[in-house]
Amino acid sequence: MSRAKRLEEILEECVTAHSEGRRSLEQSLSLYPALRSELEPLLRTAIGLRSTFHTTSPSPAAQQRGLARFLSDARARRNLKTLRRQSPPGWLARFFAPQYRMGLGAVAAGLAITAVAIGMAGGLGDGGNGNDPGAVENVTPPTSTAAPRTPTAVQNLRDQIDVIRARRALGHEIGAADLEALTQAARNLQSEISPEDGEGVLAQVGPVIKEADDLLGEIALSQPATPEVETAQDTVRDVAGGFGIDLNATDTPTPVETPVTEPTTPPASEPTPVPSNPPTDAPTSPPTAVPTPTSDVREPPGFSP
Amino acid sequence: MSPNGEALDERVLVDTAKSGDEKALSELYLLYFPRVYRYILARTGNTYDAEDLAEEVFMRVLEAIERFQWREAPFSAWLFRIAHNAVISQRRKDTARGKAGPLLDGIPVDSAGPEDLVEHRLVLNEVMAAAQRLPEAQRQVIALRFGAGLTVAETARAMNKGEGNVKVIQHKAIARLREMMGQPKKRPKVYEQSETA
Repeated sequence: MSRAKRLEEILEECVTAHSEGRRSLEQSLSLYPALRSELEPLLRTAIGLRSTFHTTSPSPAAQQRGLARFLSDARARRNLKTLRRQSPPGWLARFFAPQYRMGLGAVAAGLAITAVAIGMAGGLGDGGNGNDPGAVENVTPPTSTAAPRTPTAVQNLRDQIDVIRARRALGHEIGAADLEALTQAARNLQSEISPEDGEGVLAQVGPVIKEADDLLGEIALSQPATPEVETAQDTVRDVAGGFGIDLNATDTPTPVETPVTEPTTPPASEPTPVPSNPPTDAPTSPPTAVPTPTSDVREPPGFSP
Repeated sequence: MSPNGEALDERVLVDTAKSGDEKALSELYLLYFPRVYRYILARTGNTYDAEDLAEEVFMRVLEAIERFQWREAPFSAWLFRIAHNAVISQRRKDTARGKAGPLLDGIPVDSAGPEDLVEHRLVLNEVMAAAQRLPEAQRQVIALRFGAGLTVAETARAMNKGEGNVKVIQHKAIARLREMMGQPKKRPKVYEQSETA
């Protein structure tokens, strides 16, 4: 073992022995008399560093404030999870969201055409010859929104958006807990994704951030203004700025995602949501008997209204 | 308690916290918050940032704890990777806003009297100023080993490096700090007390 290497090992050994209270500085030095002159200044510095940091603490107020926020967030998440179990799946909620209602009509039409086609072909007795792939594609629910290799942080934000859309579709008002969860998910994007993740990943950030901003815009228009909505909007815009995304550029009627664009429709960005009146529940039977928004669903314990 | 016993306790605590148990979450928070705070303080040199960021780190822990897997890394390594990401993210924001500099005024220290406090603040200022001039890897080792109090093995896992490598970086960082800080003229009590463990 080289001398330098030996010194690194010995320094580490002595630092650990001191921090665990097994040896004093002097005891350590007496174990390695040949290295004393080199070891002593390093060991003194290391011990000084450790004690300097360990006599420094966060203020009790900050610690308490943080703990309260931590536990409140944990509670909100638990409630959200419970709610998520009661809500329709994410893709279905997105399907019912205002900008996808047109898609719902298209799928209904697709189903009707398919049914007629199958009915007509049924008499021939050779179904399944692959002649109607278009109809089959139409019937496929839009689960393809989850792109392959989506980073967890992007998926989490998308999930939060889905949950909020689901709640809106069920006629619920969006409370502080939902907005905080969305805000947090947006913050996590910034912390978990960096330029090193590559263009492919960064390209997925823009659409989800824009979608979050759009959703918050809809909420701001349809609910009484709350500080939580403003905070969420500020955070999302802050995160967008961090990634160099210009949200204002998309405030024009350019659709963020255009799954179905019907030329005859009025501009899609008319949020006037009528959440208590879910659109045409004919083609797809609503999942598990859509719970009527009674107070037990609206206000689980710990949920802010 | 033996290190194995501590590890077992921590495992139980983390697993219970993962299930959403509030008592376990509180314990986990109280156990790690000061360490995360010191780690961030060592990285940023700014007490206000350290408090705010430590709070943010725990929000992110909550977001991600369900996905935490023991087979990938010890909990501390996983936690301090989150803290590292938070520091990097904050630094990026600060750079974009042109915000500068460490601020150590009003730093709360566990010292007895005002003399100790002033003395400690001087030492801490000096340490922070010197640490900010270290290369990134050395600064991180100092923050993890001496700020967060991680072992060499935990530091290695948190940094995705070998233990040998961490020891080398630690040695270089301490030697460099020693050079930068020089020999203190008046030895602060905090040093003298700690030399006799």
